[in-house]
Amino acid sequence: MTGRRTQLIDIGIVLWISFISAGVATMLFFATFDPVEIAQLATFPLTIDRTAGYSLGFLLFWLLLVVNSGAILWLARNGLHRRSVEARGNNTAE
Amino acid sequence: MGYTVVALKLAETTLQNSAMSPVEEIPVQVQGTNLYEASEKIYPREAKGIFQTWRNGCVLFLLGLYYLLPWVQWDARQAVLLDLPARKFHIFHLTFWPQDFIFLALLLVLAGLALFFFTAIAGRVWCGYACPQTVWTEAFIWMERWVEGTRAQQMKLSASPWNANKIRKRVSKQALWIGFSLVTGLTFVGYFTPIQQLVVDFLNLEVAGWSLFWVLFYGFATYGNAGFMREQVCKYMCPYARFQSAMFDSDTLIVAYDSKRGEPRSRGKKRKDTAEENRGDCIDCGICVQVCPTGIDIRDGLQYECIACAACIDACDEVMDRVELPRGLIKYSSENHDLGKHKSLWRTLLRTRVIAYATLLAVCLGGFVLGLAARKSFQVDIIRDRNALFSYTSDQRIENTYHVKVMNKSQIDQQYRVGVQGLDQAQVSWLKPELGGASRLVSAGQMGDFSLIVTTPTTNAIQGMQKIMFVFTEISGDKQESIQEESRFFGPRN
Repeated sequence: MTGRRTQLIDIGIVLWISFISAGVATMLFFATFDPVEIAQLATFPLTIDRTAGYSLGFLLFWLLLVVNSGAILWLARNGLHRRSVEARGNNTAE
Repeated sequence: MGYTVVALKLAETTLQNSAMSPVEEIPVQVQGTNLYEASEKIYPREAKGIFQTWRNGCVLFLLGLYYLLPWVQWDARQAVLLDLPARKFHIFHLTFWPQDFIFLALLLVLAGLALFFFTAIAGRVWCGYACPQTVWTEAFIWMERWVEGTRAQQMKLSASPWNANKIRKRVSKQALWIGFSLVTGLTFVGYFTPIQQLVVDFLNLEVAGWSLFWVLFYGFATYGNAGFMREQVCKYMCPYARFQSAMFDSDTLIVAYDSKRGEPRSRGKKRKDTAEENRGDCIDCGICVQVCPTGIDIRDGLQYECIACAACIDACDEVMDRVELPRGLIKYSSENHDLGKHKSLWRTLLRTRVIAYATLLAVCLGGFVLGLAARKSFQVDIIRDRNALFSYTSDQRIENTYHVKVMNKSQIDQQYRVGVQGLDQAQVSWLKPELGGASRLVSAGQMGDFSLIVTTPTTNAIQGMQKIMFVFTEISGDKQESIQEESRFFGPRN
């Protein structure tokens, strides 16, 4: 399963599911915390308005989720365990 | 009639293949399953009929709703404005604050339950008629048809070498798509910032920063999803498409091909040569495959790629009319119906699964409406002063200090009075009340950060700690609402 199209579909799934999850996370997070007040608590001087706060928050959630699910997909799809499973699968003529 | 020729040629190949195999075997054209190859663009043929009329109506209604809603005015402001920079959502006469998050959460739960409910009854009506992916894909297909013509013309154009005509058509299509996407992105941002100003700014090229980013982002997403990915979003990326079958049971409406009636399918000369009682009603014209926006053959049975748009039903009915056979070779049906278990509509609807979803839906909806009706026009949060449990005043009273956040959710400036219950001879006052009054003012839609002082005589035996109840009351307005908040009062342990 390493065809170019499979990879494109993988990327699509990762991007899309992370996008939806990031949307939910952003909603939950910013309904509870005001980005302006969070910025004031920063350990370095940080001035952002709310729109920038929400936007950056969303993009950050998205990035984290893309990295997370991308890594999971990649690890689950590749590696020794996968090879042995596939070998066994071939022997039993699925 | 270019498409007929194409269809005939396709069918001839199928016929040759099937001639070599036993008669019972149904020739199946496997499409789009080779994941090593680039996906082939699907050119759905236009279908006409009752379900497509409904579907187009739904698509037009939802598009209209999306593009026009931000322009509706209410009380001299935008009726629906999710004012994120001000942290409040205006929805007609209601204004929601972050403290009302429960309503948003309930709304999402309601949407989920409604999806389960309708899926259990009518299958994937959401996918076929209301999903944004479907709605915008349809809009993009309409534009494509308008510029490039019918399915056959589109395929011919695609196969033809680049010439002036092709360039002109492709450029027009892209221009339409990009323009439409930009309007979509602009409208999306218009739900979050006042759209009238936004559009003026956009036309003057004065939109910048995050607004511009989101206009372009959402526009690009629309363009990509509805222009290019289309059915692949449903096939590969949509979680609902994969788990919707969990909401299905044998009474759920599905788009189904009546294989008992249709098979063995045959066409052309072969059909003529077969005795009438030996041939099925399916004339194997392939139109049901041509109209399918996800490119499947419904005659292969229920597939998760099927978004239940019912285009094949309409197309097949039209064909059946033409060859003077009864309609309904492809129709909305259910597993039970196909097995000949005829139940009345009521018996079908009153099944455990539907009743369970309906009950949950009703409870949540009831909670939502009741909650909305009982929503107070202000909200109070009390935190005890963490620096000292208690102190003594000069006139020998025990004093406790509280920090109070008063959220004025109403549309008018409001003053709040405070009282205390559950503590003998207690006195309560705002730390800095308004001049000549005993209340604190909070502007409309703002939050006030105040301190409250509660005192009681030292003669009062507190025994360490006592529960008390604060009562906050509005002073102005048509009906003065009040809120009770419990807290604790600390004193010396005797």
